[in-house]
Amino acid sequence: MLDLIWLIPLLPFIGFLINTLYTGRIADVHTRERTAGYVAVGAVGAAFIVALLAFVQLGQLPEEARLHQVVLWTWLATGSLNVPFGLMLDPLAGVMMLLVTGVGTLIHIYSIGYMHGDKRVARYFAYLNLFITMMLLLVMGNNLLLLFLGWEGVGLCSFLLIGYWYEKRSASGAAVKAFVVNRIGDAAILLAMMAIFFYFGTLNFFTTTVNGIEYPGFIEETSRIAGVTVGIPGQTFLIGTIISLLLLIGVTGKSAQLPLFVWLPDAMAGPTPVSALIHAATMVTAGVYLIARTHAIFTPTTLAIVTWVGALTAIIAATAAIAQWDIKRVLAYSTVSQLGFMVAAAGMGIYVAAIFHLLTHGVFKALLFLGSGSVIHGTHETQDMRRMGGLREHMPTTFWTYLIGALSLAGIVPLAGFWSKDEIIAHAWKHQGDAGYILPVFFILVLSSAMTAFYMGRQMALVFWGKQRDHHYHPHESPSVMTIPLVILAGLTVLAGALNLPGSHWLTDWLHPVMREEAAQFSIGVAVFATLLAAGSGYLGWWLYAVKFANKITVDGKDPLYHWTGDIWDSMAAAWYFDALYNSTIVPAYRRVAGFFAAVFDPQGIDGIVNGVGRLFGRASNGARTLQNGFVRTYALAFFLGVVVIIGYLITAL
Amino acid sequence: MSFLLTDIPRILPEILLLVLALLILGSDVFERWAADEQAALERHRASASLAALGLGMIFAITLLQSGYLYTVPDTADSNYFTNLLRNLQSGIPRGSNVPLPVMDMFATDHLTIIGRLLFTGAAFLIVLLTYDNPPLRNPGEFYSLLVLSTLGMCLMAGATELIMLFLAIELTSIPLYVLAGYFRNDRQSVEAGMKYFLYGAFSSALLLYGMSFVYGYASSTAVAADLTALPTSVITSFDTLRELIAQAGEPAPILLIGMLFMIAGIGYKIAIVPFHGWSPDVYQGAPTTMTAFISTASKAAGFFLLLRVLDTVFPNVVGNPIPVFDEFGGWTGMLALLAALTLIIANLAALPQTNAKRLLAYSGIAHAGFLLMGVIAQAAPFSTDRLNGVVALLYYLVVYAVMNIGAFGVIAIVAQDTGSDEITALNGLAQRNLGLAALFTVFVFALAGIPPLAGFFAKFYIMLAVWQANAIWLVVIALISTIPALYYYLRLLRAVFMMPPDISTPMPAPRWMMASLVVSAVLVLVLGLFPAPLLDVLEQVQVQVIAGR
Repeated sequence: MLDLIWLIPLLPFIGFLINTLYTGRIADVHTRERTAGYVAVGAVGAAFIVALLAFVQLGQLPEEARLHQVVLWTWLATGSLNVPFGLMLDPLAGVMMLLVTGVGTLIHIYSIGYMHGDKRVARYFAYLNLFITMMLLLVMGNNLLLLFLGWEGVGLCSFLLIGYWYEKRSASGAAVKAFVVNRIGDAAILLAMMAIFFYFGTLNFFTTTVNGIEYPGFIEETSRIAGVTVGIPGQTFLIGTIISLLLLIGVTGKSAQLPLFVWLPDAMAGPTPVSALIHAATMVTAGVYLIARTHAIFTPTTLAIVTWVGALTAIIAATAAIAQWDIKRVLAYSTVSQLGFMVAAAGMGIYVAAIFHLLTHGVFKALLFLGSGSVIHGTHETQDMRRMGGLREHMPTTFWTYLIGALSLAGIVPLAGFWSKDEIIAHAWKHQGDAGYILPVFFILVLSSAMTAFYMGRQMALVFWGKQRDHHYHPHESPSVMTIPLVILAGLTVLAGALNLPGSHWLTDWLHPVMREEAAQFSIGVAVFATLLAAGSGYLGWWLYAVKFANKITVDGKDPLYHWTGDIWDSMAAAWYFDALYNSTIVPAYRRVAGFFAAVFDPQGIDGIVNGVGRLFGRASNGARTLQNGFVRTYALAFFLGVVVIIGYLITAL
Repeated sequence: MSFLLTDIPRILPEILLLVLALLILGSDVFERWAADEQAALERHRASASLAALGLGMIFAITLLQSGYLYTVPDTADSNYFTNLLRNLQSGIPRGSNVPLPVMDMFATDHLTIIGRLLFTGAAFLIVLLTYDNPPLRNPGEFYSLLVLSTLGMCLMAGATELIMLFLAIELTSIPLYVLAGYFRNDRQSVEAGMKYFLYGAFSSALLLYGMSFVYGYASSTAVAADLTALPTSVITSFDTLRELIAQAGEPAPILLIGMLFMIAGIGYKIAIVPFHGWSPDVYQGAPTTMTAFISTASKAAGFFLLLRVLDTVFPNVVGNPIPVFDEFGGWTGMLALLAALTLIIANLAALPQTNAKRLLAYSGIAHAGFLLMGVIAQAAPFSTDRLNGVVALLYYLVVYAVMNIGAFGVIAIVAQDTGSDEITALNGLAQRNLGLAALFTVFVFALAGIPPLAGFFAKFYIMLAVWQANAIWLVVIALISTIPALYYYLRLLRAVFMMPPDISTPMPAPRWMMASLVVSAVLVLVLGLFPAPLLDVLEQVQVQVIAGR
C-alpha cells in the first residue's frame, strides 16, 4: 500500500475531472446535484481509506524506516537542478494527510446538505475536490517545489471558492484580496526556494533515489550552511536566518499572521463549508506545517521572531474576535488567533505541540464552522448574531455539538483544545528561563486564551441563549446529512486530546523520527490555573450576554460593553485598523504610482485614440502633418530620450 | 563563400515558406470572385486551409529534419525512407558537429531550428484562429503576408551577418505593418498599422545607424591589422566582427554606442521599456489574431536575434549586472537596468487598464522584462549557468507563445461574439461558455505564473539562471513585480467567473478556433508537468551560441 500513496491525491483529482467534464453536462438539475455530491464524497472518502491503510502500514515499519518516497517521474532536470515529481509519507505527512482527507470527507458530506438547491453545485464540488488534491500535494510532496505547487494550488482553489457566491456583495473582492495578499508571501517563498537551491544544490527534503541515482535532501544537510553568512561589510546575516525569514513571510501570508492576516476575515464571504475546510482546518495551517517541515533551517534569531509574530497575532486577533457581530467573523478571528498559538509554539521549538494543536484545532474549528453553517442554514442566511438568540430550543443537535466545540476552543478539561493549548502554555511557563522573551509571551498567550473563552461564551450566549431577537425567520434544525458530520466531529473533539495526553504522549513518539523532541512536561499548576481562568472568563462572557445584558442587545444596536470601552471597542471591531492602514497607505500609493506610470507611458488612453483617429483621417492627405499631430511624435521622443539616457549611462558606467 | 547545391536541404524550411506564400497568393486567383457572401467565405476558407495545411506540413518537415524525434543511425539499412531522412538531415547539427553558416549569412544550428519550429508552430495556431473569422476581403494577400512574415522570423533566428539581419527584420516587419492595419474600414486598425509602421521605420533607422558604427569600427581595425591574418569571410559576418572587435582590445565608445543603437532597434521588436510605446496601441488596434501573432512570434524572433547578436558579436563587452558600482556595466548591466524598468513600469501601468487587449499588451511588455533576464544570465561566470540562461530563455519563449496565443484567442472569440474587447465583455463568460472560461483560466494563470502550469516554470528557470549570475537584486524586483501582476490577471478572471453576463445566451465557440485553443492549453499543461523532453532539446543549443566565448 505504501507504494500506492500516489492514489491519495489522484482520487480527488479524478473526482474533480468527473465533476468538471461530465457532471456539468447532465441536463436534469436534481440528478446533476446528486451526482456531483456523490462523486465528490466518494473520491475524498476513497482517498481517506487509502490514506488510513497507508498510515497503518507506515506504523508497522521500524521507527527509523518511517519515510517512504515514491518518485513518479523526473519533473525538472536541467543543469544541476533535478527535481522529481515525488510523493513521500512520513509521520508528519501522515497525520496531516489523515486530517485533510478525514475532515475533508466530513465537510464534503455536510456540503451536500448545505449546498442543496445551488445552481452551480457541480462546479462547487469540483473546486472542493481540486482543493483536496492540492492540499495533499502540499503535505505529501517530497520536495519544496511540489510543496509550492500545492501551496499555490490551494490558494487558487481558495480564490475560486471565496468568490463562489459572487452575487453576494464583496465576495469577488475578498477572493482577489486573499490571492494577492498571499502572493506577497509566495514571492518570499520562491526567493527562499532559490536560495536553498543555491546553497544546497537541491530542493528535495530528504535523500531521494531517482533511476538508481541518489539525490541529497537539504533537511539532512543543514550543516552545509552552518556559519555561512552573507551581507554587506559591517553587517552580516547567517544565511539560515535569511532563508528562514523568507519562509516566515510566506507563512504569515498563508497562515494569516501579522502583518498579512487581513485577508482571512474577508474570506468568510465564501460558503461556510469552505470556511471550515480551507480557512480553518487545512489550508491556513499549511504555514505551520511548512515551519515544522523545514524547522532544521530555522536559526534562533528567526525563531524569536516567529514566536513574537505568533504571540502578537494571537492576542490581536483574540481582541478582534470579542467585538464582532458576524457569527463567522468571530470564528475567523478566532482561527487567526489559534494559528498564532501554533506559530508561537513552533517558534519556541515545540513543533509537536504546534502540530498537536493544529490537529485538534482542525477538528474542533471545523466543528464550530460547520455548526455556524448549520445555524446560518437554519436561520435562512442570517449571520448577524444580534438577529439570533434562543436557538438552543430550535436546533438541539447543533447546540450541543457547538457547545462541545466552544468548550474545547475555550480550553476546558477534558476536551481536545485543553490538552493541546495547555502543552503550549505549560512549555512557555517551564522554559521562561530559556530566553528573555519567553515570559512575556507566556502572559500574552494566557491572556489570549482567557479572551478566547470570553468570546466563545459571548457567542454561545448571543446565538443560543436569550430570546429570538429577529422574527423574520422561523429557525429549524438542519437535515441529518449536516448534523451527522457535526456529531462525528463532536465525538472526535472529545477524543482527540488522547493523541498526546501527558503520560502517554503518543503523538510525540510518533513524530519522533521527524522532530526528535522529548515529551512535553505536564504542569498540574499551569493546567489548573489555565482551566480556571478559561472557565471563569468563559462564564463571564456567557453571563454578561445571556443574563446581565440579555435585554440590552438589540438588532442593529451597539454592544453593551461599548458604553464602557468606547473607542477601544471600535478599534477591536476593526481589528486595530490594519485593513484601514493598508487601505490608506499602501493601496493608494500603489494606485497613484500605477496611475502615474499609466499616465506617462500610456499617454492618450482610449479616448485619445478615438479622437486621434479623427484627426488622423482629417489630415491623412498630408503625411508630414500627421507626423506632427499624431502621437507617434511623443513615442519617438520617449524612444529617443531612452537612448539618450542609456548613452548617459554608458558614459558614466563604462 | 559561395552557395553550394548541398546547402539546399539546410534552408529547405525557408524555401518551402516562400513557395507556400506564393502558392497562397497565386491560388486565390482560381477561386470564384463574386460579391456574394458565399463566394467570400469560400475564398477565405480556401486560403486559410491552404495556409494551415502548408504551415502544418512545414512544421512537420522541420521537426523531422531537426532530428529531435528521430535521427537515422549510421548503421541503418538504406531504403527509400532512410535515404530521404538522411538527405533531409544532412547539414543539420549533430552533437557538437555544427556546420558553418550558409554563405556566412545564415546559420542552420539548433537555435535556428528551434526558431523555425516555434515560428511555424505559432503561425499555424494563428491561422487556425483566423479560420472562422468573418471572411476577409483579400484572403490570399492576408495569408501570404502572414507566411512571408514567418519566413522573415526564421531568417532573423538564423542571421549571422549584418545585412542579412536587417533584411530579415524588414521582411518580418513590413508584412506585419500591413496585417496590423488590415481592417481598412476600422479606424483603430488603420491607426495601429500606421503607428506600427512609423515606429518601425524609426527604429530601423536606429538599427542601421548602430550597424554602421559597429561595421566602421571593425573595418578600421581590419585596415589597421595585418589583412592576411583575417579570415576569408565577409567583414559584416558576426564571427569576423567578433574577432576584429577582440583584436582591437579595449572597446572604444563608438563601438558601445553602435551596440546600444542596435539594442534599441531590436528593443523595439521585443517591446521593452523605453522602446515599448507603440505596443499597447498596436495590440489594441490590430485584429486580435494578428495581435497574438505580433506579441508572440515577432517578439520571440527579436529575442533570438538579440541573443545571437550579443553573444556572437559582443562577447567581450558582456559586463556584469551586479550593482556594486565598479563591477557594473556592459550589455548585461544595461539590459538588467532595462529589465528592471520594464518589469516595474509595465506591471504598474497595466493596473488601470480597462481594455483586455491593452492589458495583455502591458502583460506582454512585462514578460519581455522576464525574457530579458535570460539574456542577462549570459554574465554568469560558468558556462553551465550561461547555458541555463539560454535554455530558460528559449523555454520561456515557447511557453509564452503558447499561453499568449491562447489568451488572445479567447479574447478574439469573445470579441467576435460581443463586438467588444473591453474587460467587461468577458463578464459572465463562465455562464455563457464554461469550456472557454476554463481554457481562459489556464492561459491567464499560466501568464500569472501559477504552478504547475508552464508559465510558472518559465519564470522559475529564468530567475534561477539570473540568480546564478549573481544578479539577485533583479530576481527580487521580478518577484515583487509579480504581485501587482497577479492582481490585474485576476481582474480578467474576476470578470469571467464573478460578474453576471449582460446576456445569458450561450456563446458559440467556432470549431477551429477552439481546436487551436485546446492545443495551446494542452501544451501549457504538458510543458509544465513534463518539461524534460523540451528542455533536453533546448540544452543542445549551447554548443553553437556560447562556444564563441
